[in-house]
Amino acid sequence: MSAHQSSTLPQHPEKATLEGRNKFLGLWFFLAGETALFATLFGVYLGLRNSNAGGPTAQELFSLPLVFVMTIILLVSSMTSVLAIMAMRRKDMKGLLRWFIVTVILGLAFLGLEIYEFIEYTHEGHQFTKSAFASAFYTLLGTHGAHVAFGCGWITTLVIRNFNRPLDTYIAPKFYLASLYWHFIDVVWIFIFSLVYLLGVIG
Amino acid sequence: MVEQNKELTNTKLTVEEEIEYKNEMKLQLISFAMMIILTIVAFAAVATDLLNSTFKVLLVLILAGIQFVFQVYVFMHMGQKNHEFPTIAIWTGVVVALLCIVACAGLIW
Amino acid sequence: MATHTEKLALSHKQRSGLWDWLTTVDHKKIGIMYFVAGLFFFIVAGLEAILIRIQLMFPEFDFVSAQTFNELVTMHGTTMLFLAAMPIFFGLMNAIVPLQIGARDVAFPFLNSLGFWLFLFGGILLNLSWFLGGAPDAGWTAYAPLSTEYSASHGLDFYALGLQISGFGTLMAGINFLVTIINMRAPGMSFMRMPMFTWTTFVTSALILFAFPPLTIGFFLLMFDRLFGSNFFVADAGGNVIIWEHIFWIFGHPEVYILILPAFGILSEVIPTFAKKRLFGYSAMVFATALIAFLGFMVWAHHMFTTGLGPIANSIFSVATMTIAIPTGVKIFNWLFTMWGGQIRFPTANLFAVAFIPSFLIGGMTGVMLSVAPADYQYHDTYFVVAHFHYVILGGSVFGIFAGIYFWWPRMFNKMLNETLGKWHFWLFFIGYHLTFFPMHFLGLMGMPRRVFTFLEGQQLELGNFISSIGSYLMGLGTIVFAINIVVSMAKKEVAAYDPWDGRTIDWAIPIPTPSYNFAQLPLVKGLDAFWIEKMNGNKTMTPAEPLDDIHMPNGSILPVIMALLLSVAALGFIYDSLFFAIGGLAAFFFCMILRSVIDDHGYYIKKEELAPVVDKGGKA
Repeated sequence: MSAHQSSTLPQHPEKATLEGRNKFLGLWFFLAGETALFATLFGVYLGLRNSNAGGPTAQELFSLPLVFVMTIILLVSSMTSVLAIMAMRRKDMKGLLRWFIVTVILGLAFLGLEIYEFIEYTHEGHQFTKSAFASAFYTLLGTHGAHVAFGCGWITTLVIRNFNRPLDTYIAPKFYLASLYWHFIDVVWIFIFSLVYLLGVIG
Repeated sequence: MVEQNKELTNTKLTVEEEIEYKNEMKLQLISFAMMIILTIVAFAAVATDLLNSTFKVLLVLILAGIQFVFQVYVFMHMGQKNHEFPTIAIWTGVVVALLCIVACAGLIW
Repeated sequence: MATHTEKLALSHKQRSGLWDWLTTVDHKKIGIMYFVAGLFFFIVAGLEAILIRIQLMFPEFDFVSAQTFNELVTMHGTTMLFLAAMPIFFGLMNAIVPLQIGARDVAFPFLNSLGFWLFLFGGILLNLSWFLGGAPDAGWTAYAPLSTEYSASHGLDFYALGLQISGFGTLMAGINFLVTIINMRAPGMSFMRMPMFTWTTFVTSALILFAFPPLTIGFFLLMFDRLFGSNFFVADAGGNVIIWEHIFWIFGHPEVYILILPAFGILSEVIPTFAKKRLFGYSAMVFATALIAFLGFMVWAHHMFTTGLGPIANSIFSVATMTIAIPTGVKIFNWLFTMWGGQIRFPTANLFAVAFIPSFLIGGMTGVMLSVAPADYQYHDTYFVVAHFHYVILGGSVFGIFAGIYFWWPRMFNKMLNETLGKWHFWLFFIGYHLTFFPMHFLGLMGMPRRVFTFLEGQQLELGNFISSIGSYLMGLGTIVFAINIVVSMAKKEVAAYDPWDGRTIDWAIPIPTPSYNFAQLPLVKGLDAFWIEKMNGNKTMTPAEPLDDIHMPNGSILPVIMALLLSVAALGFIYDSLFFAIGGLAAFFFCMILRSVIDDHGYYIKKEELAPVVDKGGKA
């Protein structure tokens, strides 16, 4: 059956095939596992956050304005990925691609600011090998950052590969999964800015 | 059964789909606005000196929890139909997460 | 005009020989590979055990040095748990669960293959340490700071990185089984009509999903402290070694339930089959499985009673641990009630299954003894603990594995294992097992610590150790007989008969040899023990749920082997300080992920004319 003939087009193309449904469930389970993964890192950080071994403390280090900007950037990027999927609902492939490109740009901006922040901190004496607090801080934030970077790579790959392809039930799950993953890393950031930065500044 | 990949050449939505789309978009935008506000409140609470430490901590935690619910139930569509297993999985993850945090942060000395 | 979505391959070149096995994504072949690799590592770890027991046969014996002894003890535990028991269970799960639920493969065949190859390469990487400066020597639990600051050789680097890689494979397998069981059951198979082995696979996979991520973090922290100078476990810089114990045991306790639940599932298949009676209390068994898994996450600190958590924490974990005995007891009673009034026969599979019950029970009992926190101050780090866990792991997991092997051998390998050799295997192993581990209870109570490379004369420890060593040699003999059985059986030309055990579940309703697509037509499931229902209605096969049609199959791929190899190369780069191999290996790995994403792979079709003739109502193919 040729795809040019009009057939009932699924409203939720990402779930219209068995493969799509399997991928959907698989990614959700993966995210549940990642919840346990990041929780362990959070636990380690919270346990070690006062062990600064003479180096700078959280209160001395953290710059709330910068973190606020980073938070808004990531939150907006989460919204733009929602808009990308809403474009998919409208069967608007160009819109989907456009919003995902914006998402990646915002993600890269977030990463750039985070790298800048880390460099500043190392100059102030907050170094990975200096104290348990620093080791825990950089590992937690670094793992999150690595996940953001992976997400940027993933979405970029999908955008480039599918730039000239029409939306169909093979491609839709791929983009849907990428957006779910992107939301998840924003969820993790919510807890990072709350438990690391805000709690760190409170003391 | 053979499943062909269906191309979405029909770009018009039915009336029901249009209405659903508009409602969905409203929900997403309102949630986004809420999350921005929650973020601002959290940062403001910490930056100013209106509350004592304990209240600040509680507020930050509660605001984070609410944002979590918005992200997961609205942005990630976990509140929609056919999300029973994702719901169980994520909440189980949350329980395990709490155990890890209590252990590594609380049961040490 | 065909669009890209229609370029479905209509046929494929039949792959053969080694290339077929390297590129396969077929769950049955992957199951066999897991199984063979697991058996290989079982023998390696068994040899390590024999060497341990030779060293401990006499007081102040100097068969091996203390350093070598520590490496043997570490590798024996690590290999048995991660590289033998789990993979053999994965082998059985892979081979059998899709057949039990009426599916043609798992949800993610490519990921299935990748998971296997990651496990294998991780295991090989770990064992390379023997040849590259010494194996890890800090016990399978690798407590910090022994594992971080006081272990000079690269052994623990191989431990952290090798197990990390294997662990990624395990996590993939867990997610795969969860999605497969939820999404791909045959029509009519509701959750409460699934066979028990599928249920335990499902719950075990959930345990894997939540237990392995903490372990992943633990291994990263260990690796960072050892290789990059971080301070997680460096007390002077504010680190805390108790955190390692928490992380390890939050993984470690669910891990032992990952090791036993599949065995429970096997028992629940084997016992009803050979008693010709349905499983007693199916719903209770399902519920008990879920409860054991849930409670399994709540008890990890019973491994830490003596660290100083304090009486409140100790009491909570003590009581929580005791409660696990309840659903476990329900299972034991239900197996007994299944057998009561049945027409029991004892092929080797059932010998192991029935022997499981008292053996595992003894181990469970000493577990409740250990759960009493004040008493544990006496038992902790003595041979009493060693006795306990060997009783449950061998009497539980290993007996379950052997029962499953003898039971499902015709399904997996199209031949029957020899029953006479099987009985010799069983009795040598069973007697050897009790001789080895029963004396250890008393050795422990008399004060013999664990992980000691020798003991002094005149403390009345000689007799127990001597008997224990003799027992271990008997187990070794039993294993040799098992290996002979495998060789002898596979050399025979005779193919096993259709449904050799008069099975109850739909995995037996398929012709032997198993067709590559499993089911020509997906079966219609009418209830629990669906095949038995059909038999009681006079059919020799399942009622089909769909008409005969072309069958869609996934393509094989060499990428999983390459990806596992690249990750191992990267690991070696990290261990030997080569930025080129470390970063290069990782970059190439990610590049392979990109390749997998961008290259469309829609599989191929087996035309309905090519399908093997279905078994007819008379049971003939």
